Parts: sequence; structure tokens; C-alpha cells
Amino acid sequence: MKAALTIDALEVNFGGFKAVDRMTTVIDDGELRVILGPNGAGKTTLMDLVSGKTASTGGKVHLYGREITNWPEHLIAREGVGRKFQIPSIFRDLTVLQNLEVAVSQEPRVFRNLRLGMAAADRKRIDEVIDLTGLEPVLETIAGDLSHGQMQWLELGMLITQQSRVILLDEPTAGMTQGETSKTADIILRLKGSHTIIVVEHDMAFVRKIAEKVTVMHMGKLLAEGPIKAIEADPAVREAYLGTGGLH
Amino acid sequence: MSNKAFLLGDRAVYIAFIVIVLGLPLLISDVFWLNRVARYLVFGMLGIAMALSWGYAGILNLGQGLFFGIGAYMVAMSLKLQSWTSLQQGSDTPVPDFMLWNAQPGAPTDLCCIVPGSWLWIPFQAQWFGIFMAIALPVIVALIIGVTIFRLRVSGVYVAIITLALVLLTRLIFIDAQPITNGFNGLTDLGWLTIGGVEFDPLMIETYYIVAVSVCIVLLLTRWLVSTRAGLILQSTRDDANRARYLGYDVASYQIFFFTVSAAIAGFAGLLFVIVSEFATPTYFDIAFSISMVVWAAVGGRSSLIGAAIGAILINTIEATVSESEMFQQAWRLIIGVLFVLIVLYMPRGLAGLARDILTRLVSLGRTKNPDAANASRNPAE
Amino acid sequence: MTQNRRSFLKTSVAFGATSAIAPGLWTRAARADEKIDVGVLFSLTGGLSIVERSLADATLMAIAEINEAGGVLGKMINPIVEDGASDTRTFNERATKLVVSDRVPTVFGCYTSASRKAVLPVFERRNNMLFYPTYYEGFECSKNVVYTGAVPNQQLSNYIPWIINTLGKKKFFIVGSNYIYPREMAKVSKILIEQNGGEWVADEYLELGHSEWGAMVSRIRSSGCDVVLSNVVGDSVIAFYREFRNQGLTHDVLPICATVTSEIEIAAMGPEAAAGSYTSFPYFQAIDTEANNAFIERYRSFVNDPTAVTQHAMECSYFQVYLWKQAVEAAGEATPDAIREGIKGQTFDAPNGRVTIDPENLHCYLTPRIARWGADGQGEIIDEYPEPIRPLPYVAYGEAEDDLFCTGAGLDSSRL
Repeated sequence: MKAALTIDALEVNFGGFKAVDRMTTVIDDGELRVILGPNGAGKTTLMDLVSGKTASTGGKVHLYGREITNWPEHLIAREGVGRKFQIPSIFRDLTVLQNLEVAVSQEPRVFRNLRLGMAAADRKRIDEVIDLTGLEPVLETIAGDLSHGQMQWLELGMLITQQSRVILLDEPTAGMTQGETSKTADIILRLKGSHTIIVVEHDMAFVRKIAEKVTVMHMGKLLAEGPIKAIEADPAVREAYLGTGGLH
Repeated sequence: MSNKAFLLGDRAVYIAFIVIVLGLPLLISDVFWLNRVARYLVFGMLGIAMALSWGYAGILNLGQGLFFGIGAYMVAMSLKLQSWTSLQQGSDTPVPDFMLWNAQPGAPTDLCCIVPGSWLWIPFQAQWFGIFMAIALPVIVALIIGVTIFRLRVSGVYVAIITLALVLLTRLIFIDAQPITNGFNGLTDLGWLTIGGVEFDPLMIETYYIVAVSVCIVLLLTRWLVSTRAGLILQSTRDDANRARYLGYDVASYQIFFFTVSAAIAGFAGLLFVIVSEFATPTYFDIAFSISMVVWAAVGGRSSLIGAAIGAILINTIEATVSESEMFQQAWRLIIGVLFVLIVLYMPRGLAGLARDILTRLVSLGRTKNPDAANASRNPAE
Repeated sequence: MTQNRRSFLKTSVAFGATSAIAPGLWTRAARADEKIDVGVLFSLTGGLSIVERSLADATLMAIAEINEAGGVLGKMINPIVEDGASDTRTFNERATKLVVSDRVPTVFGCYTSASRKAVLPVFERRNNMLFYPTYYEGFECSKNVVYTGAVPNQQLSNYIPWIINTLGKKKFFIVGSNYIYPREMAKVSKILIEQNGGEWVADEYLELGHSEWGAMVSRIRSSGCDVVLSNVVGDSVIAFYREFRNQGLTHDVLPICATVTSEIEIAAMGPEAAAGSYTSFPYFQAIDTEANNAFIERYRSFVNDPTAVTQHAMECSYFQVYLWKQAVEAAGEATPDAIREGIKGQTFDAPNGRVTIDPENLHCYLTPRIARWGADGQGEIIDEYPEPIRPLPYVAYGEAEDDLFCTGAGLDSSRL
């Protein structure tokens, strides 16, 4: 199994406070990994470090064997990392279709983009994504006018269009209804295999639906790692979640 | 689909604009008025530059006058050296009259050294150099500014402040360098643009056409530019720069490119303005002037190239007419100020947005049976 | 002129709002057979209006007087007044409008040399005539301008030797506003100062309209000069003289000798600030002749202000209209070329004395005078030439009466 993302003793020190503390884990190609942990465990910060939003102060990150530690965001993105944010980050003044068109970002350079229209292959891919996310009825709607759930799917759709090999999903079901959560789980499962997916989540029902291997973080460190059933039974994990009434 | 309606409406406005602009001399034979209209068309071009920078790139340039003024001065320098009086200062090669006034007694009457820095004028003896620099220098300056602030990820209000400070600084520099710029009196008594032996009198229909055709070409080229994928990506950087980065786009390179194009358009506008008004003055670097460009774009609709152009032309036409009457002149500034505030608060997409809303309403009226009408709302900027 | 009206009709079709707001556009077209349009172009607003308003008023008064006496060639003069707004670009635009759109055969206007330089191309390119009433720095020889104000040989050639020999002051601090007139006057002054055995210790400039004079006056005090030659223009003059006084400098020890400060600036700053200082002009309100006193009375009545003051440039604004009238009558028609021919050699009894337009360089014979300002805001004339002298705009380059650089044939630039 090829390693998609190798995180090696990664850490970030914010003036004495280590939000991520010598975190090490390997995510394989095609894997679906869930990252769990109480609030403040450093999950989102870990995503920030991997995607280039925050600069790390120690450790390394390798993507398919290539070191991408502290690269600028757009270069990491070009290398194959896509990221979905907790609060949907889409282009609110553009239409849904335009959002997806922008997500076709295989050729990112200014001068190469001085042309009208796009290649047929790219058109086809967008059509597939529209199918997958069910956004057909709202293609001409301004993205800022979408419902919360629709925005999440649009962002997800953009990531798929982006053809990232590794997709980082930060709480993809936040604010969703039961039905929406279910649909999101379906989309993610369909992506598994062709993409490597790392999900940061809280909703245990959702996690149980999609998870295989789980990484638990606590106070910036790796607490436990393994199949979902083992994690739920782990006493150290239970203790970390003490006061939060265990894992729901 | 209503999308088609918008495209049609949009195309109609562009065609109408071009037809009116190019056909105006058939309606107005008074060359004095044509010359005035030509100046307003130049301001329309500035509106286009503003819409590109502010509406499409999300870069609020409060110092657009900087590029306009540089473009104006560059071509004015060449035209000054072509003026008849420049050959009357007692030398065989042209020397601007104001340099003689500023020279120390006994200084050689030659561009190389009549006053400190006068050698900078030497290459402008060729008219094409002035024309070339009118676009090249704003581009260079914009590149320097752009690379500095966009690579540093300066955004929003700080960009506005920096551009404002720069235009102010430039104004001071031009006024202070009196021996080579004639200070706050500016460059006057310019020769006429000469192409292929033909002199373009500002009060000539042909000169009007140079401006009118230029404005139309710039309008169409810029329209094409924003319709490209690059234009769409640019708008995405405006909406959410971070998301654009996470998609793999080097946001700074888009900002730098379009900021520079906007500067080039402004520089070109400066060039054209000098050709029709025979004058380059530090007032082009006035903050009030730069800010009024923002007002034109806001009123016309900053996300619409043609909207901003029409806004600029309309406001300046009304202002010129109003200033014939002294009573209105005082009230005018107040009116414009209040109008600006109202537009920003209640009509943020300006007249263009208003036009689109009206079109939407008309279209949905005609399509009450189509369920899509409920969803299809206003299209984003074109 | 009906052509103009037709195009205005077309204009209002294209700009509907325009004609609705400004119906005045329609009435401006004049009928050539009933009256003669002339342009009057001065700063009615802005920092220079303090002086230029009176130039406009003096022009209009002369026009009114001439109309009352029957007009020119039996036609009434119709003044079209435009505001230069103390901005050179506005002057250029207004001049273009007067010459190209209103098609006046003559414009009476301009005060600062900057505004004259800005409008000059309009008159030269479109072959029109500007009657320029202001004293200026010389170095100009346009066939399209009649210059009725003093040139340096009528303002400085008498002044500098007088300051050195009669006043006994030899160390000059030259200060002026930052544009062509003060700079050129400084150049001519330096030549005259050195020719007459004096020396200049400084040549400083501040922007037009600048009112912070603290630092400059300090510099004057510490420079070791014994006289200040002031070419400061506009409302800066007031701030300057007041600051001078505030810092304890007095005109009996360290006089300001000005080329611009006139009755208007004195009235505005308050006579105490200027008492004891000097100015060189061909005209002062204090000239005690019947003609001048009557002129002052008529002017005060015309502007409805019993305390109004008169000064050199506005007196030129007044008499140049009469000279123009004579030119038109001599030529038999009011066109620029005819006026240019007709004005050559025209002579008139102005309030300051006899004035004549030199047929070679279109400048004006004037009588140089020097006055000391009194506590009443009036100048006491302490030096006066016996008769008007010939204007030499290129005196700094060595021009002399028998060796003119600017003649009817144009400027001989090889002499520069």
C-alpha cells in the first residue's frame, strides 16, 4: 500500500503552547481516515498544518513521497491536496456552475487561462460532479443564496472537480439535518478508493457509518489509532472524553 | 432561460453604446462639444479600469489617478517638445520654455543640462517614446506596487490606503520637481499629436474618433478579458482568496496581472486625455479626482464594465452642465456625495444592477408559468 | 451664429437632461450685426480672486462707460464673463470656450503668468487676441497678445538702482511664490543687483497660496540681508507681511520692497503691517491728478463700495478696453487680425498718465513709479519718471531701445 500522506513528528508551537505536539501518522492511498478528539485537541490545526494555512515549527509532511512541509497553500493544493472547511468556503457572488468551473484548476497559471470556454473533458467532469451532488436545479443560483446543506455539497463538489488525490474534510456534516448527513455519507463513501479522504468529525453516528481506521487526538498529541470498534473500547480514549459523557 | 435574456440585454447595451459613441459626430457638428464629449469618454475608460480593478478583482484602488497622471505626463512631455515655442528658446534642439524660466543665468540651453534632471527629457524628443511610456511606465509602476503588496497579502482597506498615499506622494513629487515638470502649473502649450504627417487638432472630428474608437476597443477587449477563465478565476479570488488558493491558484499573480492591466488602461486614458485637452497638470494626481473615479464606478455599477463607463460619462456630463449655473455648482458636490452614500447603502450594484433588476422583473413577468423563474435570480457581473 | 443654435438643438436631443437643466445655453448665440461679444476671463473664485475680481470689475466698468457713450462702431459691447477659478487648467478651458465656441474676437483677461501661459496656445493656434493687463516678467513676444502691464524694465530697472543708491540697502533676500513670474523677476533682479554693485544672499520660493511663513521669515532674519525683494503673489502676501511684523521685523530697518504688493493686499492685511515698506508700479491709487481721482470715484460707484481701492493691474484692465475700442474703430471691424493692426501705436490718457502701445512688440509705454506705504494704506509716491518709457520685454538679455529682440517680424531667438 502506497502512503498517501505521511505526517512525521509534526508540531506547531504558538509561543509556548503546542497546539499540535509531535503528531505522527501515515494515511494510505485510497484510505478513509477519521480523526476524532475533543474540542481543542488540535484536529483542525493539524489540517491547517498539512494544507499550508499555518506554518509548522517542527516535523515533516510528505505527500506521495514528496515533502510538502510549509509549502504555500496553492502549491500544496496543486500537488494534490484539497480541503473542505467547517464553514463552507465557496465563491458567494458566483453561480454554482461558475464555482465548479473555477474548481477545474489543473491549469492554474494566469496566461494559460486567457481563453474562453473549457475543454470537453473538463465539462464532462463537471457534469459528473453535478450528478453526484445533485446540484442540477440550482446551477444558475448565486452560491451565496444556497441553503447551508447545498453549500456543503457545492464545496464537496468543488473538491471532487479539483481532482485532489487527498481530500481533507473538516466537519463536513456540521449544521446538517439527518437526511443531509446521510446523503453526505453516501457521497464520501462513493469517493473512497479513488481518493484518499481524511475526515475530522464529531458526529459519532456519521463516523460509524463511514469509518474504517480512526485516529484520536488529545491535547495536540496522538492518543490512539485503530479500527473504530477498538477505539470505542479503548479506556484511554474513554478517559479523555470523560466529562463529555463518552463518545456519542 | 433567463440567462439568454441577460446575454441579449447585455449585448444590446454594448451595441447601443458603441453605435452612439461612434455615431455622435453625425448628431453634433459643434467641435467644441465633441471635444468635451471626448473627455467624458476618456473618463468612461477610467470607469472601465476602475470596474476591472474594484468590481472584478476586488482591489479598491483609491489612487487610480496615479496611472492616469503618469500616462498624461509621458505623452505631454513628447508633445511639449514638439511645440513651436520649444524651438524658440535660443537653441537648435527643442527645450521646454519653463526650463528656461527655471534655469540659472548662464546655463546651456540644451536638454542635457539646462536644469538638474532635464536630461530625463531627452528620449521624449521622439513622439513614439512618449506614447510608449504613457502605457509602459504605469505598467512598470503597477507591477512594482502589485508585487509588493499582493505577495505580502495586503488586502482590503490597506490596499486602498497605500494607493491613496502613493498618488498623494506622486503629486508632491511632480509639483516639487518644478524645473523639469513646471510644478503645479503643469505642462501646457503642447504640440499636436502627429501621425504620418497629419496633425490632430483637439478640435477636429478625427481626434474625437481616435478617442471614441479607443474607448470601444478597450471596452470590448476588457470584456473579452473578464469573460475568459482567467477573468472568472479573478472573480473567485475576489470572493474568497483563500478558497482560490486551496484550489491551487496563485492568487497574487492574478491580482498583479489584472491590477497592471487596469493601470495600463488608466495610463492610456491619460494619454488620450492629453491629446484632447492639450494639458497635463498635477491636478490629475489630486485625491479628489481619484476618489471621484470610485464614485463613477459605484454609481454606474462597479461590477459592470459598461455600467461603470456609462456612470462616469453621465456624472461628468451632468457636472459640466450644472457648473454653467453657479447656484447648482455649490450644490453639486453635496448632491454627488449624498448620491454616493445612497448608492452604496441601497443600490450597491449601481445603475447596472438596477437595470438588471428591472430586466429580471420583466423576464419573470413573462414567464410566470415557468417554475425555474423562482430560482433563476440575478446573474453575477459581466 | 445660427449655425451654433442648430448644433445646440442637436446637442439637446442627444443629452436631454442637459438642455432641461441649463436652458441658458440657447441664448448665448449672439447676432453679429447688433453687438460685439468680448470675453472677460479672470479668477472670480479661489485664492487669486482677491485681486482678479477687481480686474474683472474694472474691465466691465470700462465696457459700461463705452457703451453709454455709444459703443464701438455704433454697436454695444457684450461682455461674456468666465471664471478661471484660480486654476490654470480652468483658464485654458474657459479660454477655449470663449474663442472657439463663443467666437469672441478678443478676450480681456489673466493675471498670473501661469494662467497667461496656459491660455496662450489657444490664442496663438486659433488666431485670436488676448489683452493682458498685468505686469509680468517679460520674455514673451506673441502676436496674439497685447500686453498693457509693466515689464521688468518698467518695474525693476528703476527699482533696484534706487534701492541700492537712494535707500542704501545692498544685501538682497529675494523671496517669491513658486512659479514663473517670481522666478523670472528674481533672475532679472539678480542681474540688476550685480550690475549696480549690490549682492543677493538668498533666492527662496513658497507655493502660491502658502500661508505658513514662520520658517521663511526666520531665515530672512538670520540671513544678514538688509532688504527683502518680494515677488510673493496672492493671499500669501498677507500672511507674509503679518508674520514679518509678528517676528519683530520693521520696514525702516529691513524693508520689504515688493513688485506685487498693491493697495488690495494692503487693505486686506491691514495698513500697519505694510507701513514703511515699498512697491514699484507705474500706477498707484495715490496719484494725485484730476483724471485719477475721478477714476477712483467712478470705480467706487460702479462696484458700490466707497472704500474700494484701485491698483496697477486693474487700472490697466480699465484703460486697455479703451485702447481696444480705438483699435477697432481704426480698423473698421472687430476681427483679431484687424484689431492687431489697429492697436499698433494707439495712445490714450489713462489715470496713470499717457499710455501707448508699442507697434513692434505690442507692449505698453508706462511711467515707472515707486511708492512707500503709509499708515493709511495709501502709497506715497517718492520716485517717478518724468515720462513714459518704452517697454523692453527682453531687457535681461541685453535688449535696448535701439536694439529690439521682439519686433513686428517676431522674436529674434538667436539673440537669447
